[in-house]
Amino acid sequence: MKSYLVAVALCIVLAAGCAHKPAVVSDPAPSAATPPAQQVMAAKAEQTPALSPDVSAKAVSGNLDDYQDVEDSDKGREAEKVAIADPLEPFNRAMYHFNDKLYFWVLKPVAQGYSKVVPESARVGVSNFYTNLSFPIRFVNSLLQANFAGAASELGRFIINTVWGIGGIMDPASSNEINLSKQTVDFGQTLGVYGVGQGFYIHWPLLGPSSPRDTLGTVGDIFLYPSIYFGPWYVWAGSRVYERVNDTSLQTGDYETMKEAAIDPYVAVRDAYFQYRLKIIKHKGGPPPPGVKGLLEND
Amino acid sequence: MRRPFNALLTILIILLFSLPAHAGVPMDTVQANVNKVLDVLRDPKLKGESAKEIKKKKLRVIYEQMFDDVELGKRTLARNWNSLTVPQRQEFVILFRQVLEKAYIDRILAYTNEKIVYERETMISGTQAEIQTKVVTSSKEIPITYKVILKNGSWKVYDVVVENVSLVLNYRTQFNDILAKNNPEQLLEILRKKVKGQ
Amino acid sequence: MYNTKTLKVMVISILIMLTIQGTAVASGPFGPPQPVSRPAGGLHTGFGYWLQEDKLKNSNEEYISRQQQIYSEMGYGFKKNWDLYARVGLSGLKLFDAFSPTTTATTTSKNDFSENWKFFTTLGAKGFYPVRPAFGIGAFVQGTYYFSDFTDNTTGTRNGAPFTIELGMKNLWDVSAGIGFQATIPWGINLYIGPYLYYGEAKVSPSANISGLALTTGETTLKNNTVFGGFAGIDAPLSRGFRLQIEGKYADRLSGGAAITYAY
Repeated sequence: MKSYLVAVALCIVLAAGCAHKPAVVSDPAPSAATPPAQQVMAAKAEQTPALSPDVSAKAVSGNLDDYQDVEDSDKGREAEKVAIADPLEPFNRAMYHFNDKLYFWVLKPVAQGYSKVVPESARVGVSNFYTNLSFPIRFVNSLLQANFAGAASELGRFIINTVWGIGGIMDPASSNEINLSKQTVDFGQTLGVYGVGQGFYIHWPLLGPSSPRDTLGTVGDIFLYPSIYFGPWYVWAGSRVYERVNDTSLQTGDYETMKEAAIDPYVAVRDAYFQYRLKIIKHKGGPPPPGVKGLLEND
Repeated sequence: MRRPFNALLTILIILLFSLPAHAGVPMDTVQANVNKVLDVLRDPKLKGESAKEIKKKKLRVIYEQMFDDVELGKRTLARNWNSLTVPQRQEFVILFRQVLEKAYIDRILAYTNEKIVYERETMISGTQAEIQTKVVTSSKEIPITYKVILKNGSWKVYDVVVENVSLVLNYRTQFNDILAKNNPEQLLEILRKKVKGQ
Repeated sequence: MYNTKTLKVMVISILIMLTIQGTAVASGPFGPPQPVSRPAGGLHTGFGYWLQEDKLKNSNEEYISRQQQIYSEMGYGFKKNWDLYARVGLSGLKLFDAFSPTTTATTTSKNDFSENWKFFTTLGAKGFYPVRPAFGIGAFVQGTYYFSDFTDNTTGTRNGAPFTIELGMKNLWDVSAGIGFQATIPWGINLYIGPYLYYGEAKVSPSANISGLALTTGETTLKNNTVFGGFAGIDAPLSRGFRLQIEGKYADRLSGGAAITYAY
């Protein structure tokens, strides 16, 4: 599934004590932005307040001059001031809220119980196994993007990890000696590389952040995921749920940190998703996707 | 006669052999600052709950040396920065730093010896560079890129890109959305409340 | 220590080995005496191919067998120079002239028994003692068991009357033990050679008794002809943590194979 930016939750200086795969998101969040506004208006007396007492009295060093549309280092490359359109915002926020509750009430407790019983090395092995299993998705999509070096790398990873990695449980292909890199590709990204635009933002319950293009991509990738061919649909569904619980158990804390760091977690998730998708498409080459506001405008 | 020549040779040798061929000043600066942080985190004398406050104080000092708060603040607000008065800008920068500290300090303090690999330095211009690093945990590698700018003779970080997501841009979108419906003073109040923990 | 009888047996075995064609059911390579796993302990995995030729003998006849195997191996070194390993693989079995009639009254549509793709497993342990930096001695013990039976059938005529007969080879297993002498040459290549002892057997179970077909007279047991053989091999490092092993064994017939292992 898609990997995200729960890693934005990763610290500024170090990714300390943390994370494992970038989270698959069932990221939720309550909407924080709108209510405070009214309360703030009511409470506020001064127009230009002096520094509030709880703020550090330390002076801010640096130039507080006006902001200019500076030569940002990313100018000329895509995506500086870009944002994804969000016409379904009320629906999306509701779904985000649902996912947030789902995470805290269901997914996280289950994952924590699971991680108490199962040691980390075993859970990492399970994670490796599932990553290995999704080889067809990465292989086929690399080919579709004419990324033959990437496809070869994926094939090498699959063979080495399956034959010498105990069926994919170990991941020797990622070791420094062998160093075959995993390609960050999926069908939604392939469509993006072909020039299909993001469209607009959809936040699905359970699945998390997406867009029309990426939803189509997710559906397409389902057919490349082996477990769907082994038995009835609930085998596949059960397997995906287990995979999600296992992944969450390796990343507990990331989502909480992200929420803590964000002023408006819903927007933070949306933007992170958007930046991430844009970057992984860009890195595979291909024209910049249309339908993205303000592309190439600098800020 | 011989002495000045020897001295010159020594200086020349020192100059030639102490400059790393591949890493420039920007990467060295980042590396030095990160190493300072790691020193604090690994300090055996600062173990335990009571030492947490001391560690936080030390880390704040390093943070100030490493990051350019104002640049960070400016870039997250972007054009909206201009609709803040100077005292508001000042308060914003301080509040923003506190928000970041509150959110990330526990994760940073939880560091347990993950390896940090400094991969590449790319000069964007004479005064801007990007340092690509990687944090290697037990199950994953996390790419972190520091964007640095040269100001007053020292290189400071003004953005951090983790897993392809820029911190500055992520906050910029959030602030844009908030300021579309609120005025700057309300934004500051939101930040104050967040810092206080509401 | 050894009584004269044992000595005699061993000498005779060597002579037999040199003169008569004998076979063993010993499966798979023994591998180098020095464990593949990293010295401080650790996991190694491998994948290999082996061609085994044996002579199997029951009380009356001898048959030449050929097995082709592919297998996956996993091993763990608990301490420096001690290794436990396990293999799972698929094997085919061909028994030459199993269906060859001994009288002219009987004809068969084919002579050889053949079936493929049966699972087997091998468990083994080995230890190594370094004598010099470039020289050492190891010992191993290994056993193999086949999970399924091999069966094959043939049609034929007996005095003009057609028949169909099925032959089953059941409960194949073997054990081996041996010692290896290892020398390390430059580039990290290990050469090894040594003798081994083994015993293996298979039960033959015919579905009917057809006179003229020797193996159908009843349930018999085929065993290996010789208890003693020799093995030799090369274990060389490839790039990036992989190693290549090539090994040969000789008891009555030559067997050999190769494997690629990876040490974590």
